[in-house]
Amino acid sequence: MPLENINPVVYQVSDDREITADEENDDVVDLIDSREIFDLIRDINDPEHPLTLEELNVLESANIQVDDKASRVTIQFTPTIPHCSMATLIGLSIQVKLLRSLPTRFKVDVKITPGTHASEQAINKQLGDKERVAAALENRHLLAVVNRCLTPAK
Amino acid sequence: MGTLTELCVLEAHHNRAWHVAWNPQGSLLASCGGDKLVKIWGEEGDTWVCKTVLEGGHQRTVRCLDWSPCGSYLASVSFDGTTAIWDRKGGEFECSATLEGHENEVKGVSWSRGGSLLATCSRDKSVWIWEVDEDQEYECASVLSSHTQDVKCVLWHPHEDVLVSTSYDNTIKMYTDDGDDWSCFTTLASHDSTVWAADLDCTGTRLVSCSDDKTLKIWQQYMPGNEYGVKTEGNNPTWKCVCTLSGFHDRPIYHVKWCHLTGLIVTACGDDCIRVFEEDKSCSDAVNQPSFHLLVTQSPAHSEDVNCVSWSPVRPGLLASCSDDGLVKLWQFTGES
Amino acid sequence: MSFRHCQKRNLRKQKVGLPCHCYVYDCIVALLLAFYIDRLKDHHAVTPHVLRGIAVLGRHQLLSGDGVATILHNLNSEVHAQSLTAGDRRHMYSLVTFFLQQRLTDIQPLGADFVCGFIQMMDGEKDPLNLMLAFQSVRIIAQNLQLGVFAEELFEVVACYFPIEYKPTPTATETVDQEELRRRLRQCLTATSKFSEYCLPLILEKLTSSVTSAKIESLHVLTAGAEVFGTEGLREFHGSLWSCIRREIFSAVNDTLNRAAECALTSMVTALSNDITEKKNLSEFEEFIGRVFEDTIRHLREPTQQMIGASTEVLLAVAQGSHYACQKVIGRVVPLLLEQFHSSQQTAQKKGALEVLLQHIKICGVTWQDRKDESPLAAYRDSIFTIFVSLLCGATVELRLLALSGLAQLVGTPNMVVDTERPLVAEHFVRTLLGDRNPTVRDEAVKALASMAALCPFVVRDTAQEMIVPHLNHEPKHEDESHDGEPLVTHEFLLKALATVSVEHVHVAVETTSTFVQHLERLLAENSTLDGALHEAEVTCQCLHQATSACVTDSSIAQNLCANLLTKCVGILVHGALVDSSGNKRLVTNSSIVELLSSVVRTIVQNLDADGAEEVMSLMVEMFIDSNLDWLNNAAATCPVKFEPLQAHIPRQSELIERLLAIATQCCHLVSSISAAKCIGGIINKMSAGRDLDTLVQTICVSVTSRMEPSSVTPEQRGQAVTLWTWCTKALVLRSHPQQTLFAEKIGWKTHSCARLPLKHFPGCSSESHDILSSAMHADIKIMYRQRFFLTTLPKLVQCFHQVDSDQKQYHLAALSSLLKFMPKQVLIAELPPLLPLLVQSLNSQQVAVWLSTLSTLSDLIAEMPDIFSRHIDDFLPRLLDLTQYRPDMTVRISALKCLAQFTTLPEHVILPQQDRVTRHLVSALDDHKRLVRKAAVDTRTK
Repeated sequence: MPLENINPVVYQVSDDREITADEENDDVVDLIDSREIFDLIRDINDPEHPLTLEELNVLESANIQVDDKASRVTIQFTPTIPHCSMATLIGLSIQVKLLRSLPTRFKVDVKITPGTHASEQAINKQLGDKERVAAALENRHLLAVVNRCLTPAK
Repeated sequence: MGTLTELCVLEAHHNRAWHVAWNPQGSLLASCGGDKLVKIWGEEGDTWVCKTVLEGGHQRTVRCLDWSPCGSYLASVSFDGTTAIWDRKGGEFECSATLEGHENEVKGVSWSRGGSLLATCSRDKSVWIWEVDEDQEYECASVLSSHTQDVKCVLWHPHEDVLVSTSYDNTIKMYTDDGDDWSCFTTLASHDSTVWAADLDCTGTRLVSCSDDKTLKIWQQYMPGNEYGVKTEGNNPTWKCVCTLSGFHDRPIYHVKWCHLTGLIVTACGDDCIRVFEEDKSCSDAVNQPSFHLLVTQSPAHSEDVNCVSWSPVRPGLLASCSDDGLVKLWQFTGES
Repeated sequence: MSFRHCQKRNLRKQKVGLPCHCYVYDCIVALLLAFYIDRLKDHHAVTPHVLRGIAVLGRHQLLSGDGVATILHNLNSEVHAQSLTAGDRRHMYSLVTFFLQQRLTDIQPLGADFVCGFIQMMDGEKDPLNLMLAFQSVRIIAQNLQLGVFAEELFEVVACYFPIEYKPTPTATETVDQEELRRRLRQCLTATSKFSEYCLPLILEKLTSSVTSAKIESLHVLTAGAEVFGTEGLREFHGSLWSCIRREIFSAVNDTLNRAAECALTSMVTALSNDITEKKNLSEFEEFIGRVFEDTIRHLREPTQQMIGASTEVLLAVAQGSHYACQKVIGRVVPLLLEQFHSSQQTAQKKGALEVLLQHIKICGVTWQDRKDESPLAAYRDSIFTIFVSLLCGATVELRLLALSGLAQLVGTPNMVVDTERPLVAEHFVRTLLGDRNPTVRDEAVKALASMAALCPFVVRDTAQEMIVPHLNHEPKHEDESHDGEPLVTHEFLLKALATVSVEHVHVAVETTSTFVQHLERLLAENSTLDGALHEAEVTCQCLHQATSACVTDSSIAQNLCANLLTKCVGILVHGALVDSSGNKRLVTNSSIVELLSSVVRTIVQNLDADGAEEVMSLMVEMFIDSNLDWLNNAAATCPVKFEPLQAHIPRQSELIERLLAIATQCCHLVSSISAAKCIGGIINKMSAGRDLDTLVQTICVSVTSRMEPSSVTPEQRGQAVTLWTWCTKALVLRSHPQQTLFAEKIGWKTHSCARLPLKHFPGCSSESHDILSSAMHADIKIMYRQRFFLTTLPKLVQCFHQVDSDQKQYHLAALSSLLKFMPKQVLIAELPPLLPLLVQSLNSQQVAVWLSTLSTLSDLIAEMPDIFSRHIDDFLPRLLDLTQYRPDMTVRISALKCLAQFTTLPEHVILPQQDRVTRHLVSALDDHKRLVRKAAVDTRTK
């Protein structure tokens, strides 16, 4: 019987960000950059595999665009397979994590990397609908699933 | 050109403020939000204060509000799937009825012009019409399932029993009672994404709609046998998109209101701004090819997404807005000649 | 005239108010009763006093049945209860309650008259204490008297209180427990099946309201009443009740509400199942359960997770209702899930189906626990078992993990795995832990085997010995390597697996201890110098320790086996030390191996009886003193003296102490000197009081004091002296020796210039240690020693804190912090609050360094003392929130945020009111211009 993505490829995890002298100097302003956003979300667990989104290459630093001055963040994530039934949940988890972690001034768009999912448009539209997202987060069951994704494995 | 002057800032809700609505007399403003509360605001001296907090009516986010035409009843709808009717007796509000029926989140509510019909719409893709009798008993008169996706907003025609709904399926639909039952008589399709809201002008012959596709559209009603030769079906009018305003908004437009006193259009946008538009008076074909221009962009009006704007029904240019930042703000628009 | 009248009334009040405790005959009782009853007709001002008299008379054993009737009749006709004070009414209620409890047969003939009278009496009652009594009475009345036409009225007179809310006023002297009040009201509403026609509509009405607390309370009433009302009572209502319950469970707004709805559902199912012997009732039950299935089963087929969860909750609640219901649910759900498992294409769906299946198996196991007949699962047993076994070789990690936990659960469920299959399951577990390519799966297999060990130890023991132990005898095979060249299953993994399984059952542990000892002997004999060998030996020792700890829980086994094991362990140590004169680095004398083996020895000795201990003791001392002194310099010396039980006599003590002192102060081998210091502490603690002890303390005092001065000796020697001093101090404080104060004071944090050194040693001494001076090692511990230690040291410490320069304060705060952590909770609750101002003051000081150490002290304390900080959260929070925005120094901002994160560990009722405020403050920290601050803020925000 055909199974969905039984043995995903596991990718090398990037090293922790090195703390620079500038970062320890209180007089220097550290702009929020794509690596910082990446660090916020790389450890989110995949809902299906006991792996993080980074390990599955769902998230890559290069697919994150940040403009700190304009307060915009755009994230593209790549589902492991084009029919992944958990893509919406993954997107939602990313959104919730950023909702809790980023300054409120930011406008965050979470989308599927173009051409990597069969229902790309539908899922993007759903993730972009803040009313649906808000209602989903009031559902105890769904919130529990999202929180499970956001709880660090270790 | 014009200016928006901030009159007052009300710390209304602990999180997202979703909707604001004026009572028909313009003396009270109701707001609702993610903290499950409805708050009633009134003017005291030169500021506005919270008169009452309506608690316990809903168990989840209160999404939308509407006052009955007589001003005695306030309807609130919530993600918990219910509609609450608040009865204003001697200044005190009391929850007199809870309408259940929608399968999940109710997103919009509207009273008809006479107050005898109430419409609600939901994530369950349906629009419900409720009949109100003299004893304030509510009876479901019709369940309309024309949309293929969740219905975001409902509103009644200012003079007729015609209902408008907008949806995640990118369309706007209109309904009438054909004597037998309520049914959809026309579908307005032109937007490329969710239609968040719509509003009719004071004549009820023009509609403005706003969308996730970052545009505003103006729709014109054409009656059967109209002088412009626009085709119609049966006794029902046809609506056509006569103007699209694009390039003004940077993010989804969540709400739009057409002022029945001044004819101005105001929008609430996800780019934190409020914008006011006016129709060009010197237009050659004002019916079939109207044009609109931007009078003012209040940037930013709030520190987060603006969710709703509403013109005062009695004081020209008085405007209320609310936002994800939990604030409700009052503004005065002044035009420059 | 009016004056006289008034006087007379007062007099009468005094007379009638005197209750008669003297010896009375039945005729006197009757006479007195007639008198009192007559007085009820007097002026109403007398009534309260008359009531008190009647209350006493009414309890008299000689009161006749007629007397009871007379009292009740006249109370109804002559007294208007609700115009009396609450206290006077209480006399009436308590008398009626007394009658109902003790004289029920006298009341029963009164029938409806009494019921009617009682209804009038309590109608309009508002006092909670009185309601407690009244509710109690109503329950007895409803269950024991003919209610006649008054059934509805009796119900209404209590139903009007539902759902009862009661909050005691702060000034109230006597209060009522709201839960108890609610419980009694529930008992009234559900007292008799006659109430069903009134109670169920009431429940329905409240369930359709929007007040959550009313809904929850209604569901509690339904839970309590369903069985009383029975099928007959529920007949008309179960449909609507189900709709309400379904709505609550499916909308999933509130956990408490959900639980209550599930309990109510279970209770309804129980009630409906009770009467199914009658045919018409059976169809009623079928109708109800049919409706439930219709609303839930279809969701099990849908892929949306939320509905599956809610539907499963419903089905499980139904299955718990009765055996019959359980049978029905299993019969409907299990085939569906099996089919779904086989037909679905996606891992997530297969997994989902199996998870729901396991939940049902669990419930069925519980429900069928005490029954002899065949469980409804029996029909599916084979296919379920086959699925889980076959999944062990499944393609995905998730399914293999699920297979393991599923099989473990099946083993634990009665009748799911037959005896002959058990060895098979154990073999599957072992094969998985040896052969699976995924480390998580292997770990899970160990856990599964361990959980099985608790249930069938012998099966697991034999399988483990047969299949795992042989792998320890040779190096991991080459073909077992994973792709990166590391062996798939290392010796370390196997050892740890054996240990994990051992701790579950003593019979398994007994077997593995000898496995571990053999393995250790083999490793030591090979004496490889590789790091890997040392590590493996360490692991073996740790595992041995775990298994030993499991063995000694059974005292009969402990004496025999442990004596054997003890000899082996000491033998290994001593043998190793003796042959080490060559000075080569040897595994056996490595300090960590010695330390670990010592702890094994300690574990055994702690559990020996007195004779055994005595024997071991003399053996040790002989070895220590009479052997060659060369090996004293080696760490092997660390094991002996530390484990003397209280009763055991130490031979040749003075000789021993002399040697130990020399080692403690002069030996250059650090482990040896610290061990010797501990030994001395142990001996001082246990020596019997008298001249010998005083002399010894004096000797130590003289020889060590000078060595603690900075000038005289090297820093290392000073360190040794301070270590010895702290251990001696602790030993003295523990036994409450008169010299304790002297020693404690000299720990020496008042020497400004070198405050750091003693303070550094302080935490080690003030915390609990496992190897010595602990109750497990039979130390002489006088009660309240922590308090004594705390109280002798604290004033000095606080005084010094205020005296020293601000740049030294941080060390004192650190010492204070360790001292505070050392205190038992009860003491801290009294002692900490006076110190809190000191902490607040430190936070408000001008010194950044003081802030930082205060913040770290606070972080430690919050975790320890959640109660105290829950009460003082307001003292700290504002300043803490300020510091999160302290512009000049980012380290302060970061520390403040970390400390704030600790506050989130406090109980929810403390946190929730602050949540908004803190979250709002964090908004600016999340937008800090420094990345490291933002990171700390995110950690705090997402806690």
